[in-house]
Parts: sequence; C-alpha cells; structure tokens
Amino acid sequence: MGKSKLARREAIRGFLFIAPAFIMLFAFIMFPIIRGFGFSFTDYNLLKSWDRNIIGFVNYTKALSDPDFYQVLGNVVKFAFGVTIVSVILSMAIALLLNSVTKCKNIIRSLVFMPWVLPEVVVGSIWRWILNGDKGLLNSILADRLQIMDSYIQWFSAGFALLSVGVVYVWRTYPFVTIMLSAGLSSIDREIYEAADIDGCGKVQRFWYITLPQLKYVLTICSLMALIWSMNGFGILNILTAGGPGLSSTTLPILIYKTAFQKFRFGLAATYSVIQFAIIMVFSIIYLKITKAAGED
Amino acid sequence: MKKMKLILKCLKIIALVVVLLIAVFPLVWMLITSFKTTGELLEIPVTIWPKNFTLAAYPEVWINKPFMIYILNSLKITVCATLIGMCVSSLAAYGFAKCRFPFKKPLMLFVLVAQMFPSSSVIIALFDLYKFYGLYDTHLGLIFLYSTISLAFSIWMMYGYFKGVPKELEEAAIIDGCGALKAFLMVIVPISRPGIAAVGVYAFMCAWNEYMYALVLTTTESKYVISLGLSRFITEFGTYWNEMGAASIIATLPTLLLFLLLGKNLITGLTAGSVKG
Repeated sequence: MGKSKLARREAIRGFLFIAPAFIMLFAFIMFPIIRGFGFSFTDYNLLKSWDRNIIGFVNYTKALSDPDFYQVLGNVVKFAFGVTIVSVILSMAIALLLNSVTKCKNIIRSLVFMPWVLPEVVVGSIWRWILNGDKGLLNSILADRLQIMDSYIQWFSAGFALLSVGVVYVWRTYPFVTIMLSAGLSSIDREIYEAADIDGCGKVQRFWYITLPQLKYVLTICSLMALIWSMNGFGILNILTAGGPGLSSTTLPILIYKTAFQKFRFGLAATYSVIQFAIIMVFSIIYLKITKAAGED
Repeated sequence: MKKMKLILKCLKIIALVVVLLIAVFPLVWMLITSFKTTGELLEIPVTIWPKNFTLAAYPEVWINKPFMIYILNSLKITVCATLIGMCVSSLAAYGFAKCRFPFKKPLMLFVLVAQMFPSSSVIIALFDLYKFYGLYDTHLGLIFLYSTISLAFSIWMMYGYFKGVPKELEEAAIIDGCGALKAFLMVIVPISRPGIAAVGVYAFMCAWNEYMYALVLTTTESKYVISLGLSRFITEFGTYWNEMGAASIIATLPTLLLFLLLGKNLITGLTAGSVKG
C-alpha cells in the first residue's frame, strides 16, 4: 500500500468518526439558524402561514427604527456586562479564598459549584420565592428582623426588575467562573511566588504582579463565556419576570420568544434572532482568537 | 503577630461560611418551605423554621398533581439523550484526536463556536421544521434535540482525554488484529472512563435542565418534561409555595444526586481546558 492510500484511508476513517456528530449539529442547530436567516426577509406570520411573502429588508428597518428595540439592546448591555463584571470580581475573591483552604477541599468545591448544576426553572422558582414582594424571605429579613428598611421592596417592579434578575444570574454564573479561576490559581508555578517572597514582595503586590498576569488567559476566557451565557439567558429570566414589567427586564431572547410565540410574527422574530446571532458571533470570534484550544494541531 | 494570624484565620473561616451559605442556602430555603403548611406561608414576618413540620406537600405534588408523569417523561428523554450524546460525542472526539484528515482544524473550531450559538436563534425555524416533519410535540423530537445541545462541549471535553491516551496502546491493539472501531471500544474507552463519566454528567444535566426548547416544542400536558411542568406550576399555582418547594426539590434530585456522585469528574473535565492554557 502506498503512503497516500494509507493517508486517504485514515482521512475517511476520521470523517466517519465525526460524521454522526456533524449531521446532528447541522440538522438541529445550523440548518435552523440558516433557515431563520431566510425567514427574516419575509412577513411570515404563524396565524397566516399560507400567506408568506418576501419583503426584503422591511423587518430590519422596522426593528432598527423601533425605540423599544433600543431599550431592549440597552437592557442586554447593562445586564450582560453587569452580570459578567460582578461575577468575575466575586469569583476572583472566592477563588483566592478557596485556594487558601486546605481541609475538605473537594466538598467545599462541590458545594460552591452547586448553583451551576441546578435546573434553570428551579433557580427561577427559588428566587421568585425569596424575592417575593409580600411573603418573601429577603424583604422579611431586611424590614422585619434587621429593620434596615421601613417597608417591603417590590423586587420585580419596573425599577428593580433588571437588577434583581441580574443578581440571580450572578448567583447562577459565579460558581463556574470560581471553579475555573480556582483551577487556574492552583496551576500557577509556586516557584514564582517563592522568588517574589525572597525579593520582599507584599501580598497586594504579589496578587497584582504575579497572580493577575498569570491568570489573564483564564480570566478573559471566563469573562467571554459569562458574557455570552448571560446574553443567551432565557429560562431564569422568563420564570422571574418574563421580561416585565413592560420592557424593563426584556433581553433579546425574551423579545424573540414573545414576538414569535405570543405575537406569532415569525418574520420579525427571525430578524431579531439574526441580530442576536450576529452579536453573539462577534464575541465568539473574539473568544476563538484568544483561546489556546484553537492553537492545538 | 501570633494574635494577628489567629484573627486572620477566624476571618477566613467566617468568609468561607458566608460563601457556602450563599451557595447552598437558597436551595435549603426551598426545602424548608416545602415542610411548611400553606397557612404558615402567609404569616408575616416570615418564620424561619416550620412551626408545624409536615411532609404533606410531597404526596400532593407527586400523586394529585402530575409531577410523577413529568419526572418519568424527563427520565425517559434524558437517559436516551445522554446515551446518544455520549456515543456520538466520544466517536467524534476520537476521530479528532487520533485521525488526520483535511479541514480538521476549521471543523474543530466550528464545534467550539457551536456551543455559543443562541438557542433563541435556532428556535423559530426549528419550530417550523418540527411541525413539518411531525416531530412537534413528540418525545422523539426532544430526544434528538437534547442529544445535540451538549455535543459541542462534550466533544471538546472528550478530545482532551483522548489526546492524553498514548498512541502505542491502540497501535498495539491494531497490530493484534483489531479494527479502528474495535480498538476504540476495547482500549480507549475503558481507559478514558473518568472523561466519559464527566461527559455523561454534563449531557444529563443539559438535557434534564433544558427549558426553552421544551416550552416551545411541546403542548400536550401529559408530554411535559419536568422543567416545563414546574414552570407551568409556578404560573398557575403561584401561591402554594410549599408545593412549589416540594416540586422544585423533586426536580432537582436527579441532577443533584448525579452531581454529588460524579461531580468531581465533571469539575476536572470542565477545568482541564482552562488550566492547559
């Protein structure tokens, strides 16, 4: 057998191994996204599905000239960046704490990680109950027990909804980032610290000049993932506020869902979903450029 | 100086307790709530411990409300999806780790990006396609979909494990007369068991916890999965928080148990990629 024949056989074998995965990814994820792109140029309405016309960029101009849409985009920016920044800072602190613990390491790590494992709907129901305006635990503790506040706060009212939802998403997101950073921390070469100690480096300097630069890679990767996840977030948001009151906590996935499955305007919803896809792709490409996983052969 | 150290140590323990409380307490609060009577839930200020401890909420949601059906539906769909997902992702990861073929790198990068794709961009046309192919409102449709959603991440996790397996091992197997598939099944899979466990936990969690697709793609109540059933319950029986608590605990148990058993594998699998950098 010639060498090229062997190589060809190996290539065919490789393709056969990856074929099932790619068929599934294409059929259930890629193809619908492409088809959705096609929908965005039509006036497809679920209630009049027989009457579907190509209308060009009408949906796009409609979306981009709608002030409500910009309010939603503003929410996305506030929500996603807020959740990411708070999660990463909080996680950094917790990871430093966790890595200084020597006893019961595995149990503590598992417990910290737990919120990330819970079903989204359960997270939603838990916090809907704790943040309940009349019978919720948080109001009762703050107003009745600690008496910090005079009256109960409606955590899901227009002024607070986005903030409350953001806090819950932080609770959901930080465990993952913490575990990643904690693993990153323990992979830093101890000798660097020892050298720094000999040079008389203080604790703050140590963190600033050694830990942070060494963690730069993990930090950026985690931030990007947290950002993308919170922009894609739907379940918890839908359970907690369903985007309301009004548009106060509506992000793009909620807007897409409501436009498509409550107003049945598939064409317009598809347009929003193309915009959503484009935004996510921008951050995904940054992720690809940075990630070292892509650098492997 | 010694005193200083002691104070620091105490502060550290307090901080650790606070961290653990924040992580665990919300779920515990749901558990406590599930032991209360409906009357006690209306009291202000909120009672911390149940005054009249009762387990009544559990049989209520399990027998009188259709939660048993939801759980069985979810179990069926999740187990099928997990098994399919594990097979498909480990085959693909093996192909990527051990074979050379054209366009390998762009294909791998595609997999990496595919895990970021927003489900809200998939759902509109998918609904349309499911209606057309008769997969709408069927468990089969959800099984296919749920096997796919965890694929991308699983492939990358497995890829890391398979890369670590020495090439000599499978070469020896192939010399012994094994085909590539047999070498994979008899040699690679047994060694990579921790990785396969991690992928299994991840795939199970993804399928069990999924909500958006179930919300859009099922409509018959007897076909609901647990996440959808639970969300409907919140909106319909919004004030029965003890039953809500019981239902939430029931819905959480399978993932939580699996996580407690195999969570260590999952954490190692998830972090492996980040540390390598």
